[in-house]
Amino acid sequence: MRTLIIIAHPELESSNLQPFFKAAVENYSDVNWHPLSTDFDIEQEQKLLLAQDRIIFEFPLYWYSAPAILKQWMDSVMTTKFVTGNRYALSGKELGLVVSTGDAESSFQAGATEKFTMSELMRPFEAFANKTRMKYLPLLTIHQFLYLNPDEQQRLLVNYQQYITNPRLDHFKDQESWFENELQNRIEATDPHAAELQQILDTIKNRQDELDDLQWNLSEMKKEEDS
Amino acid sequence: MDENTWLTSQLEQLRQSSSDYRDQAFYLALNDFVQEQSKRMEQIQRELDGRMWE
Repeated sequence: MRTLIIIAHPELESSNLQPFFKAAVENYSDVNWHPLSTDFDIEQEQKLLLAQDRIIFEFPLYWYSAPAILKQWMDSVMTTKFVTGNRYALSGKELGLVVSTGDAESSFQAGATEKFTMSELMRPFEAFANKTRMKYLPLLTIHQFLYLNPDEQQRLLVNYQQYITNPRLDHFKDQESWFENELQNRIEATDPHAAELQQILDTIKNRQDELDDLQWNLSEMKKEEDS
Repeated sequence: MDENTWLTSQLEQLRQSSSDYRDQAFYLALNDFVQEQSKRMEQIQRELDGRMWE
């Protein structure tokens, strides 16, 4: 799966979060890190978009939206002909947003300081995905990155890796597949702990089979009770 | 040692012995995943037991 991460950050050099995310995915060959500048070639950008399966807009929240550089880029590159013309060039691709803010998560809800949820604020992007026949992914929002403790930062790193590289994000089982795949890659890369990793991988797979069986038994029992 | 305790201890050891930040993060997140797997198995097992006795 090929993923393009479009970074819209007017002060990229001073960002703490963006280098953290960049390092998180630099070993994935199918991930393209693409910081926006005001100087771009429309045809090249469109060509780049066509080659992707998942497109991510990644930006800090500026007045409840993306920084102007993203809008400027969208207005130029996402021409009506390109995105809705005869071809619907982006149809079937996924659109994800990675949004960071210095405000607390609890502020983004009815009755709290910011009043609206992040999903509500990001509606224009959802409308864009709808119009262009893209699949809109659940948001990945980062609140107060610098307040996260070291373990929370590491958890965020892996969440981000999954958001960028996991072909399916819907179910717990999709997470399992991602972890299995990562373990397998480490084993094949002759990690010094390959033997232990293989044991861990086998155990996790067995447990997942067990969980699948339990879920199946439960659904059968529910069916019997309903009939 | 039960399976969950064994997995947790293995993953903690791997995390501690790793010098790469991304590997440390991976083992931490994998450990979280293992705990969630256990929780789900226990929850479903409890629900199955409960329904059998209804």
